[in-house]
Amino acid sequence: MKKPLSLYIHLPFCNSKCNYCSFVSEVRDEKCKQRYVKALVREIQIQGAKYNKHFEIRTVFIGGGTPSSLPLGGIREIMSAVYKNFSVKADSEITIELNPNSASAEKIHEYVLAGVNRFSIGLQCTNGKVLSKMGRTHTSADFDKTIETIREYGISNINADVMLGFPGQTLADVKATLEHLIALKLPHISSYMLSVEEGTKLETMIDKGVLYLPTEKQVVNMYNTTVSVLEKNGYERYELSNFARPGFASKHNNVYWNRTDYLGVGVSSHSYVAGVRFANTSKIDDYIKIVETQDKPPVSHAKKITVSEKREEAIMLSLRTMNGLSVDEFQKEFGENILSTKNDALKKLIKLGLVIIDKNNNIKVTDKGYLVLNRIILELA
Amino acid sequence: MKNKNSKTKLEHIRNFSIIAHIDHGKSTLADRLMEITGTVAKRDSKDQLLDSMELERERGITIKLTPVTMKYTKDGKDYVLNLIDTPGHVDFTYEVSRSLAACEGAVLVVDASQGVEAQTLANVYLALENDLFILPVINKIDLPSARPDEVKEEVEDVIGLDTSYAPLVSAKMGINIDQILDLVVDKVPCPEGDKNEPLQALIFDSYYDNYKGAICLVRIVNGSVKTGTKIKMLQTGKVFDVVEVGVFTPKPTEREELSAGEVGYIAASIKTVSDISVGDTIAEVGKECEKLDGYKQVMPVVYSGIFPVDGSKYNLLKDALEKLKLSDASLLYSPETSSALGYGFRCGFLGLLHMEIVTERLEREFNLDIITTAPSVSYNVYKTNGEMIEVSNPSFLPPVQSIDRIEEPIINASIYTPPEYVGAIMEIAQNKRGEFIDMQYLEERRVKLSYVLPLSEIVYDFFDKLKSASHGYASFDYEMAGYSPSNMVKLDILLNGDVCDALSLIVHRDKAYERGRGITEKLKEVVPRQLFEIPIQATIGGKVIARETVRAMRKDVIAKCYGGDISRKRKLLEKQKEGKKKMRMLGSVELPSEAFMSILKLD
Repeated sequence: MKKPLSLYIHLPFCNSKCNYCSFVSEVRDEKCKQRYVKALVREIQIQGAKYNKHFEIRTVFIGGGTPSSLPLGGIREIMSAVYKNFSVKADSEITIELNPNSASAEKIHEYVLAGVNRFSIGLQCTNGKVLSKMGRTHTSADFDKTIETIREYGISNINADVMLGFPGQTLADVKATLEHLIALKLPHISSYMLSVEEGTKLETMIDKGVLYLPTEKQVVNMYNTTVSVLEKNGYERYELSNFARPGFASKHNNVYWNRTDYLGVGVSSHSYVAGVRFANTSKIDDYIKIVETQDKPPVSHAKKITVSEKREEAIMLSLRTMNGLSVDEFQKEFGENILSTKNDALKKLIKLGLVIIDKNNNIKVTDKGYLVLNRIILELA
Repeated sequence: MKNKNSKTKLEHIRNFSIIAHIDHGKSTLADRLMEITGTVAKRDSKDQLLDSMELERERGITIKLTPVTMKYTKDGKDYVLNLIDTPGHVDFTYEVSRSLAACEGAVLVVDASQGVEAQTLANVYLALENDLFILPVINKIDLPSARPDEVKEEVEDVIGLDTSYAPLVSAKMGINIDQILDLVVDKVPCPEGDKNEPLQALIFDSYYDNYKGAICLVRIVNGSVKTGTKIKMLQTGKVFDVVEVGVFTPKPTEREELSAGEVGYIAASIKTVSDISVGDTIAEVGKECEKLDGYKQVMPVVYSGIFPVDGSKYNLLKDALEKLKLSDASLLYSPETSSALGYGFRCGFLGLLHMEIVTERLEREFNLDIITTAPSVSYNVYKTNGEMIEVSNPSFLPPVQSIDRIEEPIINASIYTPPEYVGAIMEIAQNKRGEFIDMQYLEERRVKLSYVLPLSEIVYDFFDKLKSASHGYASFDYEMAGYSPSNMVKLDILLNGDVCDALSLIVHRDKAYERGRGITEKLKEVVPRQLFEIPIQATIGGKVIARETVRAMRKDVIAKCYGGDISRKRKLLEKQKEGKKKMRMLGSVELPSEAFMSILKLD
């Protein structure tokens, strides 16, 4: 029987760059995009030849950048290559990321025909003023229109990304954004906190005093409000930053936290297959050149995960999830009774109300604990 | 290469030291003596040849005594002159007395402009205690401020030495150096001893050589020793086979034998540092001799805890202290456990300079990262039950109710300064609970202030304050002056409710509030926010006198995990782990080591 595999496809293009973005995405011309798609298709062929024998695809995630900034026909070409070179299980979850103003009805039509059955839209906030300060060019109305179009194809599995902590954003903005999404009956919401990354335009603006970040206290309030508003409205926080109505948790997302195998294709994509983590080069031009000239995936680094790293990742990733860290499974996998080896740290964290151990012997992070998860991981790793 | 001329008769040997107040030119004079005797060629000579430790040369001070063997010809006769250099700083008096025990004479160097100073006297008394002949020499006569005749008179008046023949020299310029050597030959008695008696040798110093093991520096009193001699340390009872003997010229130079009257070294594959005890007598196995008078143990004045930054380096620290102890008998240490700092040692030092030297040597020569706790002094604590205990570690101070009174060590301090800083220095001395004794104009530009000061105030930040108040011009000298009753209290620092023992202090009640507030404020700055709120308190006998709070950490950033990029999360975790490694647990609180050290160095 073939093992399950998830596929991540990276499209590094945007129509404009948001000023807080530090990921691999650039504004490029059509010619470059075409060459990139060609290289990507070739990489899919190469990887298909390598992995198809032993793996069957269960989820696909087309992310970016903004995949919808690709010209019409691009996604279809890529997905055809996937179907040709991999076995894709019939009920696979296939997600694409969109920006509210870059996906025309035709494009959405193309995606649906290409098998996409889940959409993830970067809304971030409904307040247009906040959005434009961040270099985002869409409006709340664009978002509504996109949702409407997607739903015309009978697709209800839609996610919206919401960002907390933008300069100028208030608690009222966050509440309004959430209420808007609840009213639209969106089944999945991802909520992140803004982090000011090195080398971004945002960093310069903050350093120069052009923009001001909300205080830590305000951001904590935004997050706590998000959790309580969404939970009150039937969303479950199944992972640190992901909320879903029953049955709508992202399968692809869970692959990361459950440490099941996934393969990334495209520039700067990351993979974890058979205990090895590897990543492709993070420069678009290098990526194209290597695939074109050397006819191989442009892997820039690969590392077999050691047992101790695996153990750390198990702790780090499982604690992000609603199910937490199963003491029994951890014992089975690593031969370590974490209740005993981390006794002092656990006692301290339990006393502080940051973690609990539930009746099934799972170590779970509390609402209060989620805000300081990195520290908790550090204590338990 | 072996020298064949080691059978010098005793009349041809002179063993002498040079003693002086710090900075009166002792090391420079030693260099000149070696040049003039051809022991070293002038062009090879680095400045201050005998200050072999990097640290000594850098600081311009002599810490370790170093012997050197020189040849000199006078009136057609050949002589062997053994010079043993001595440290001049008050902290190293013990070392001086050790080298003096190996000599028959001492050259007393007095600065022609500064005259007799505290340490000049102290060293003269030591020399007299050892029945040494003292040859006064007036140095630095080339200085414009030199007043050789007055200083000669001063030496006669204050010390009572005949200075009629005292040479007037300039070690720096090489003036009249040969006169000193002639006088050493003429005036210093030659050693008495019998080469044919059984071996009897005094170990006056030792050091560790990476290839040869522990080396004994010896003065042969009677008999002789050569390669193959089976020797016995009379104090430790250990027996060794001699593998090499030699003298210092000034590099260690192998000789066929060392015999009565001579000064040199013995290497005997001694691996364990503790097998050598400075002051011990070496005899030949089977022909045991009488034990020579050893040295009395000196009492440390300043104490401090020394801990490895990385707890796993405890054994390296232990080895390092053992090796230092081999060449620095005055260093005392015993194991100590601190709940905050783990395993380490409580060390006793002869003074602050000594403490600084030891910690620097640990860091430089042994490559150790160490934490030293605030220096403390030894208090005499009289308990209500009539018992008196000495307490140098604040953790061992008995509870208040059982203390009748505490006496603290006091010093007679002499502060030398240009006149314009007198006011500023007096203010510092007052703040340090100083009792004014005297103010003397030594010269137009030089004032001597005398104070009685508590030693505990000096070990805190006195030097730094003195230096900054006088733009570096003031200098300072002290001698112990007994004990005096004082209102001392134990100041505890609590982090999250737990006493942090490494930060506890014994302070004067009047200073407690200020110190407590200083430490809590500084801690608030350096304690990183953690998962819980951390109260920082300073207390005396359970009563809180200062308090600060470090608020709990509220949030990390919840960032998107793009395309399964777990490596970003890993990197964050690795970075956090790196940071955590540098943390010390103080009770339930994590504190970066650097932050902890900044508290210990607080002024």
